[in-house]
Amino acid sequence: MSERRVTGTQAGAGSGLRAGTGAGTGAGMTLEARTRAVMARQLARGLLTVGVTLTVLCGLPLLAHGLRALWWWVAMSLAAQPVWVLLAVLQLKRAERLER
Amino acid sequence: MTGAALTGILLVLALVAAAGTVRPRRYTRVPDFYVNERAVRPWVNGAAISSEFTSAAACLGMAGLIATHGGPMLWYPVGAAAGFVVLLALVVAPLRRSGTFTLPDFAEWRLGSSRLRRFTTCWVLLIGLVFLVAQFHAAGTVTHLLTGLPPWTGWCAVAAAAGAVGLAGGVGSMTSVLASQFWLKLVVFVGVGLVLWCTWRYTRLPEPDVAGPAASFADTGVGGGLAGAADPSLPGVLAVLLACALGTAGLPHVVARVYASADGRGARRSIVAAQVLIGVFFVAPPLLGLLGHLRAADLPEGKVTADEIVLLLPSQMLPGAPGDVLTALMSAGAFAAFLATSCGVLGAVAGAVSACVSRAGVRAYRTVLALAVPAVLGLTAVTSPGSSVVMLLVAFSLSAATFTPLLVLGIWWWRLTSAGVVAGFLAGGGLTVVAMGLAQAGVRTGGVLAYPVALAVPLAFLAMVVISLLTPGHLPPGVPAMMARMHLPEQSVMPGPDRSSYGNDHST
Repeated sequence: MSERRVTGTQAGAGSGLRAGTGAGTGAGMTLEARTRAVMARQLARGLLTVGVTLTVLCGLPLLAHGLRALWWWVAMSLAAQPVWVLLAVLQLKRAERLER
Repeated sequence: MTGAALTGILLVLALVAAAGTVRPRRYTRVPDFYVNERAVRPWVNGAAISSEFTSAAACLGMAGLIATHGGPMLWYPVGAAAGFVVLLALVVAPLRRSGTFTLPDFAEWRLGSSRLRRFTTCWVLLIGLVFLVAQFHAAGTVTHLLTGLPPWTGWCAVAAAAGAVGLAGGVGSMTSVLASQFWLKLVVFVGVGLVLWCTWRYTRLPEPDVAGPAASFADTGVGGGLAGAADPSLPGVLAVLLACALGTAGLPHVVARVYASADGRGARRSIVAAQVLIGVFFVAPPLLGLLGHLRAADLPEGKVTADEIVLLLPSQMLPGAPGDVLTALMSAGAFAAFLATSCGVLGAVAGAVSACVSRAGVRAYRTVLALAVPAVLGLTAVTSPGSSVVMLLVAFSLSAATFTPLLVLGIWWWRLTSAGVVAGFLAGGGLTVVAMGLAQAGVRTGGVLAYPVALAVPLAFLAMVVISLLTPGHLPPGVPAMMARMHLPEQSVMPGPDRSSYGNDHST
């Protein structure tokens, strides 16, 4: 698949692109400024999701460490899956909204 | 049981080989090979991603570890599923919009260095080989346990079927095979788990002393393994969860599937679909593991490995024909798991390596794939079978300390340089390899080196950032355009044809 070899010049082929006129972006904004603005918003949202995920992920075993009841362990491990789905759906909705 | 299991295995092998090789498509261009004529719908792609992800470790190993090592292992499926949230939040849409097919493609495109492509290809090869050897070993173990045939028959069966599918179809045609394998696994493992659970709950089979195992469930004092695997202590569990959560985002075969979506939006939706499907599938390991734990006293002590416990459950709980049917179903599901992951990883490795060593495109892909299968068989023959979860955690730890930092920084940080990436790989990946080598050689390192991922991941990020800042001369040209391409929605950057159209990907 070496056909896919790319050079920096090719990669930068889009440098001549003009920023679109998507809603919520300033009409006079350069492409780079607009990219930076979108990136900052998306990164903040992404890091928030990752932070919540890692907190829940590390918090569950810590929380369970103090519990000795078998069924609590099982219930907590099963309950985590809907939490991941919820976080994923919220992240999807938010990320799509930020791009509009 | 032998006849039933053999029937199940042969049926799956035949179905997969037929589904993957009938009506092979002719490909003239690389993008044709990577996607179908139409981009794959999110749910189908999500099922294919879940299929590659639910390997031998997810189907057999996790439940087996819960049975043998107790409650702390219940967190492993939780950690494995959490990886998709990280992938969705930080990687997937920009990666799809970059238009690169594989991880080395991304490295070369983003950092503008063909040497970096070759360097990262070596790491893809390493991670891929660990995955493949784990699947082949698990196939050998299952074949030997259920049919009495020597393990190499299982290796060869998986190698032949995965090789045939890989040689005949591209990623597009492989998607349907993978998706159908996932539905089979989902029905089999969750279905059998529920049937056995109901059997235990309502028929009051000879019930073991629940209080005994339950009381010891939370603190089974069995020692840990490589990379914190199967270590029930809190640091061991946290290290594994971190490796799973951060490693998923950099797995070569998962990343390769992102390209099957039409655009960044479709890629995001595919990951959400995969998250839902994985969440449903991961009901099975706790169910089966718990049953295995409750009935562990009935198993011949010391003779059954973690991967085998789950397969022995049906015949143990339901002797006779019903047990045989359930065993046949589980052996079919297990082989679907070995094949799905093997097909996916073989495709990702062959794609990355062929692009690195040759300029011939699809023909090179097939040549590399044909050479890779015997190489993996050879490696399987010279290594000893271990727990599938332990082997996979090695791959996850490596991925978390190498490709995840590359993707996260490559997507979100403008000043990343190729020198920084190499330094990060050597620091994070090197530390992981050394720590695991020492553990494998029997050297008791203790402390942080016993759980390398906790140190390797921050070290890799740090090395990439520091060395990139020190080597500004290595910054590739056109970074603003690359960032715009990755982060702005397709239609706003490129009005007109969708960016998923072939003219806009990174092929020449």
